[in-house]
Amino acid sequence: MRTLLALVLLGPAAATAHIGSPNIFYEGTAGPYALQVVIRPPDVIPGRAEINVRALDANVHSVAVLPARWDTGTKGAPSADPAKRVRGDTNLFTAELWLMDPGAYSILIHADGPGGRGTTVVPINSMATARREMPRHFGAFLGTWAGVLVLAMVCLIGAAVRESVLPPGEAPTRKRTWISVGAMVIAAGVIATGLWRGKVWWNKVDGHYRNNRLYRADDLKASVTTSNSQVVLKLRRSGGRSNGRSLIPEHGKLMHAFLVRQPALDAFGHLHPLRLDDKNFETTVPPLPDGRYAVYADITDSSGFTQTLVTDVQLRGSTANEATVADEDDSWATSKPTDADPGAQKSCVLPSGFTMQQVGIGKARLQFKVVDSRGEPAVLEPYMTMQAHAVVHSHDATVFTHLHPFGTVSMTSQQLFAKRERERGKPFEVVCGLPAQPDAIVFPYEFPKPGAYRIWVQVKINGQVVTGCFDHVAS
Amino acid sequence: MVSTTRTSVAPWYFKLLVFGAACVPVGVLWDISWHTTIGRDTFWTPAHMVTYMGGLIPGLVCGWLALTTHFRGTPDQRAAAVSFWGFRAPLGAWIAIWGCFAMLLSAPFDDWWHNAYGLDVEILSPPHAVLAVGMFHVALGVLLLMLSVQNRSGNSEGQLLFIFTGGLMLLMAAVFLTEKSFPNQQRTAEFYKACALTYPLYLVTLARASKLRWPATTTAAVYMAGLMLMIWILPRFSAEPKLAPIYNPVERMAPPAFPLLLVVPAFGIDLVVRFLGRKSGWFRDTLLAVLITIVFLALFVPTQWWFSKFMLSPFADNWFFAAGDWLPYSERPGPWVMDYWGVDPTSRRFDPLTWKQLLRAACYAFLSARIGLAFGAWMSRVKR
Repeated sequence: MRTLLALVLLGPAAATAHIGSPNIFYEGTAGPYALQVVIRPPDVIPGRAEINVRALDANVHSVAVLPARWDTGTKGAPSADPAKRVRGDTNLFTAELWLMDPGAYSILIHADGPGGRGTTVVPINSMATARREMPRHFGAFLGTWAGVLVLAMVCLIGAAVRESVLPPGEAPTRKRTWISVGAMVIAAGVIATGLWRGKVWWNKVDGHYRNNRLYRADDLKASVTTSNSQVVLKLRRSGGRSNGRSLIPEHGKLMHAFLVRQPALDAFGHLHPLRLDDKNFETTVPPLPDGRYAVYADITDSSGFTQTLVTDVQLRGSTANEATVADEDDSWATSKPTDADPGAQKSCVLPSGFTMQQVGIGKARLQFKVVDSRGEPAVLEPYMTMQAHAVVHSHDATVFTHLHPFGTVSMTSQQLFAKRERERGKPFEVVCGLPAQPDAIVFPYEFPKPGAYRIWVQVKINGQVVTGCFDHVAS
Repeated sequence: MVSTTRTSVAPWYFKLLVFGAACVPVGVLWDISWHTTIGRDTFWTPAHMVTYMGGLIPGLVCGWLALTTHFRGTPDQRAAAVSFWGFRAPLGAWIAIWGCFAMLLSAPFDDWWHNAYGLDVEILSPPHAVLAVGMFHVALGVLLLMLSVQNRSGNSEGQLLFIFTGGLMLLMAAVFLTEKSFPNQQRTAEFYKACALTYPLYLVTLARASKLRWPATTTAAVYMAGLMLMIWILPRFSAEPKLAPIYNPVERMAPPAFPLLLVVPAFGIDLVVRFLGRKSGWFRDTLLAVLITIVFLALFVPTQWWFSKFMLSPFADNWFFAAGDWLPYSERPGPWVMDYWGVDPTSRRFDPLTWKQLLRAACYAFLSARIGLAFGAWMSRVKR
């Protein structure tokens, strides 16, 4: 319950397109070059995003980056900034870019090499997610400095009244000295009033920042009803920053809802609620065990801005539901509770004799493979146009991320940015992701903080979606 | 035998101090142009360097002056100083040093502010207010330093430097009011109230403290000349925006908006102070402040009311007036750039200049003028 409470309380405040995992990971091709891109967005806007580009082919001579806002695109973008090659690593390039306004941006990445210029685009949410308190020692430092200045000004006003108009060498009279003391008292009052007004001003700016500039995800409410003996999950979104923009489908679905049973993380559902109207969605709940579930709903609006909305719901009686579901791509799985096996789980048995194995985590990649009973790589079918989907969820429920083999970004946003550029007359094609490897499933990702994580990996084999479940402790 | 050789009473460092004080508004105006044209900002931009020089040069010169006066000063020099925390130095030096330290304080505060709330894209923010207070006191210190030498010597040598520094202070105040002073806003109550609270203070203070014939007019002319020079010089340099989104693809450094025609009310203030304001007294000055308020508003309001109309017309769309050229890269061009703002009753920012608001502006102008008269009277007597 405590972790769930932390999730519900912290989630919206820290929400991006993912929860508690702000960095953006992407692997894809820019023309003839394979690139791995990691973007660390600023947590205040305007602020600087740090962009790291690794050339996976080792034949890129130079990299340049530029930011483009969704409504102006490259027409309203500055000239590209050259990224610096990182000393000691010939394939890694780094740059910083300013994001000035909240909303959907894209980072265009130009790579130059023997094959000419290649360009790719990485969508990014630009939004303020942090409200920083002034560190105590820094506040004490500034306060002391300001205090000395105030004291000095009061004394200077006293000196000005006492001595400044006297001819050189003449000592101030007793009366003048007393007048100067009075002036110092009045000055102290005036300065104190000025400081108080300044504090009121500061509070007003801070309040405006918290109420209007700090990102707030759309509010999401979940409820469960029974209809025709089926347990139905209803989701209602409201408020937030979407400004009434319509939603656009991601992998053909307007909403991807993930249900994770708390706190054991032993039941998982990947559902695609149907849109009833702009705010309301519903879906039949698959046969999941009773309990309290965190609900994460991924949506993308028509500007390309992606959000993960968070709420929770109590499920009861859905195990009686038939295994037929509202959407053909809905999937679910149960697994051992996280406290049943504290050690890292490296392998997972799937139906029909298949096994999913974790083959490596590191260098900004999570790698898995699926083999059949003979140990041969399984033939994977596209699952909602992807080779695989993954969900990363920390045991303490502060991190949630939905991943694909090209990374954490929204494919729809990326295609939207490319489409807008084409409409502006630029022949701009984007190939999302690297060619799939037959014997490995690679997700570009790094855990945002040390701790224990559960990872669900979903693939489609022989027309059936199967889910592998792994635990990993990030150090 | 009487010597006919005339020695200057103005120390050599006055020109250096005035140069430092001039760096402040030049640096700030350049910085605003930088933000509206290029956008991308670092600690080390040339505009920032000039602004820092404006704080450091007077601060260091006055620091040197304070140390030499206290530790190595002649009895005359020490006698012409004021005592502050056990040290003796001219009052102006102490105030300029104070201003320099206030400017330094604003730097880490502003840096934290950017990290906490994002890079600010407006002029008015609490850290910038601290910076402005520091700049004001640097210039005031320079002004008082020159004034004390003049008042002791009894002649008007260096008056032009003095009034030039006064013009720089007026320019700084005007820069701080930039966001309320575009020609588009010159039919709103807020513009007239802000101006009424600010400009009489500067013009009246200098009119009373200076020995020149037309001090307020000259001060206003310095302010206008400074701003007009920036309008004509800045666009001569090519530049391009470095931040997205770019709605207005500027190709040259953006100039500030054309200055207010402050010489008109300043001339009226000069006339009043010249003929009625040489003597001071509490009651006399209060009546004088009422008269100055009437003169200021009677000249300032119609002047800006109609001049803004010209500034928003095609006749001002040239290199001299540079109407609308202030538009930053981040704003969408459109008819709104040449329209009045705040005059549409359906607008959320509807703020017309009504008689009631004009009366409020008159109260502000009276307060400003009355303080200016008192401050100017004190300044005309400062000897240390």
